[in-house]
Amino acid sequence: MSFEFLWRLPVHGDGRAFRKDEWHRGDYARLETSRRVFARTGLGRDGFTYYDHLSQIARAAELTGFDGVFIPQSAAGEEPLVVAGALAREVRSLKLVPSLPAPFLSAVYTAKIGVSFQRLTGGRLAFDFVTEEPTPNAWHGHKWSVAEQIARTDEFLDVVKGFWNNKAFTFHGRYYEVENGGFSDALSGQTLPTIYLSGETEEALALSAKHADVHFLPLEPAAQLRARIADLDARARAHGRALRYGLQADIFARHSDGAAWDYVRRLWEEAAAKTVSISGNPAASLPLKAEAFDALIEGPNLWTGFGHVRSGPAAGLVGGYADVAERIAEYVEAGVSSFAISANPHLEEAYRIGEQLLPQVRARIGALRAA
Amino acid sequence: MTQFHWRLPMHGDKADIGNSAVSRGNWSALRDGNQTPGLRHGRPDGFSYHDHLLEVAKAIEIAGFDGALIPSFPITDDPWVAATSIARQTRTFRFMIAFQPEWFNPLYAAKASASLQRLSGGRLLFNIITGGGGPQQLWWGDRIAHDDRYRRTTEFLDVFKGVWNGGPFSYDGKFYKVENAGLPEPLAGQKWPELYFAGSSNAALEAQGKHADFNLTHLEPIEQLRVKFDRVRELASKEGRRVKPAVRFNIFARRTEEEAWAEIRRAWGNVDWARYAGRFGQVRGDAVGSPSLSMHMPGPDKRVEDLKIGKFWAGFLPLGDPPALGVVGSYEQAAEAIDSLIDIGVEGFILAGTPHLEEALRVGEEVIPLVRGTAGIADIAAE
Ligand SMILES: Cc1cc2nc3c(=O)[nH]c(=O)nc-3n(C[C@H](O)[C@H](O)[C@H](O)COP(=O)(O)O)c2cc1C
Repeated sequence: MSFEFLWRLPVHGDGRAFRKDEWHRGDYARLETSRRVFARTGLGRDGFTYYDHLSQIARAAELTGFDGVFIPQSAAGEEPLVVAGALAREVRSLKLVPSLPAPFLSAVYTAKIGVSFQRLTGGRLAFDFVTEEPTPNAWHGHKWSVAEQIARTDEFLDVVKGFWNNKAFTFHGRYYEVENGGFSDALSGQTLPTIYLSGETEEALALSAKHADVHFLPLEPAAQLRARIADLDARARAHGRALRYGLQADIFARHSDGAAWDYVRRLWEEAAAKTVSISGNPAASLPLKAEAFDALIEGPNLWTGFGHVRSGPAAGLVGGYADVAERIAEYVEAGVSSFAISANPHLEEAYRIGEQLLPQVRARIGALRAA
Repeated sequence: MTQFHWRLPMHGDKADIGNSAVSRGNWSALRDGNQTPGLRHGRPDGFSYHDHLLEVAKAIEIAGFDGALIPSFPITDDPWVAATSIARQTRTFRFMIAFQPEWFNPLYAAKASASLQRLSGGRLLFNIITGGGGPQQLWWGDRIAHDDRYRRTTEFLDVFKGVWNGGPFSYDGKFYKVENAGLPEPLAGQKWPELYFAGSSNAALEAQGKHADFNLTHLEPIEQLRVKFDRVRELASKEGRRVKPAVRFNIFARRTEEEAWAEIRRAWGNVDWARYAGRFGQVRGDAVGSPSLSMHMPGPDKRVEDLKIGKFWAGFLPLGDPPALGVVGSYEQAAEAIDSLIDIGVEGFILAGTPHLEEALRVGEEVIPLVRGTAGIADIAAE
């Protein structure tokens, strides 16, 4: 089994601190400090835009041996499709995985975008499709339940795949209708992008069994994931399919366990010193307590505090390079093969992880295989 | 200030207007002499058509145009993909994305557009198209009928505009319902992407009155255009707005008139009439306002001279390049034709010529500086 490491791009700003309102890279935060901000899109004083910085991060990931970039969907961040297009010609080999909300898109049009991206990049596009919990103040003003978003995504993927693989594709569904679709001529013959999906509801699991190439699991100790993987394997088999599995995680790795934990604890304490409010995450608007840190340790090197201080994956790995590499190898043994990982600040951490952690991970996986 | 745009050839291009085969891009069989992809030692050389599009975009930029229309049809590459990639590799080039409202939910469109404005420093504009109905509309997965499509376009733009500068914006339409929506900071309040808007039916003109910045029309005889633009003006003024006329056509200009016509005659002699009939022969659908397609489909019995209409020439369809009407002549004559359109109020031009890269440079260098009616692009050229 092959495995892949994707670097998650920070599409809504970046900085050293946990809290977004202290980030100085990009103009996404209302800054409480008077420090200089760089790569401020739109203001242009220094002539740089935040896309210059994203490009720099993607190149760092490419140079340090990542396989691709994962571009998350976030309310107040750059649109992943636009980011993917901007980066397409700036990195040579990286896979591009933009995360998209299928219910907001025409399925045929998305397939067309996919074909054109494959032509532009030599087949380096993959799609991640997401759903989100409805909230009363969602910026897009839609209140579709998760189940409805999944029902739409299901039909959407029926259409994308049918359109992609057939010359005269006709479809009459609840949400989508097509007559005599299919790509001809110059647009035919491209590779269908890999489909990444996620979610733990019954509907989400059913959708993945039918449509996912890769299903993102929640970050839990490897032993717990084995049960989830066995369940999904069985569901996929019922469709005559086999899934691959992925994890999304923040990784704070240092030369020793102690150094990593000290670092994360200090960031937590700094964040806890202020009131936090993070849109879309009810848990995050609770006042943070410095002493709550230890209660959020849920396994060896597994800390679930990230969701309390910012949007994105709640859990992450913290530890020395050797320990974190060991954890990742355990996940690989349990059946995980895609890792979409990040740490801020993303540019420097891409170098750290690419140079110091990934070689150890590869060595361990090599040893596992040999055994 | 008058805007001058060129067009990206999203459907491939020919190396010479007198060739019948598309040899740039893989829209026909790969032969020696083709490019993007080309053959190297008998094998595809690994380049994709985007490599050519990028070259064309840079030529358009250097030639001093404001930007280019990026058309969107079932056989073309996608304009969002092209624009996002080109944005990083050009400085002033403005991309006019051809867009049908059915393709994205207006909220997603607003977010992607705002993000593209941030990526490019505000270089996005749109050609809002509403689609021509018929089999092509069903191919896209859209079965809404003509006038309802324009209603959807209007609603789409109501919402798109409503959320652009932030919220809360609520809307209860036939096609879209949103509650307390609005682009979040820092995406809110980016530079507004100007809207060119195609369509000539009543439904189209009414929709434009409400939202368009430009009415984009294929070239037609001057008197017809004058009538259409009066109507556009009248409908827009009902909404208390001004919609600027814009015209799309091809230019084939050379140092002398004789040289230009000699080339056109050569091309006419090489027309592949069967291929042409296959491509433009049947115009099915419910589009109202494409007289250039339905009225000017000359056959092999016509001579080049038969197709002159005033300052214009109506033979571009057999040469493979809609719209039918365009301009052939010396550099001076081409500039005069542009001036005659400026005289009736045209403020936006979308020009093209085959091959697009070479002709962008020629028209930008030789024709546009001779246009009297505008200070804009000539000034840039003189700097
Ligand atoms: C200048 C111009 C450019 C157009 N570009 C496109 C295009 O890129 N893609 C497309 O599907 N239709 C395009 N159309 C066609 C429109 O979608 C529509 O069918 C046409 O304007 C007829 O509208 P009407 O019935 O209101 O007159 C274009 C039309 C014009 C006039």
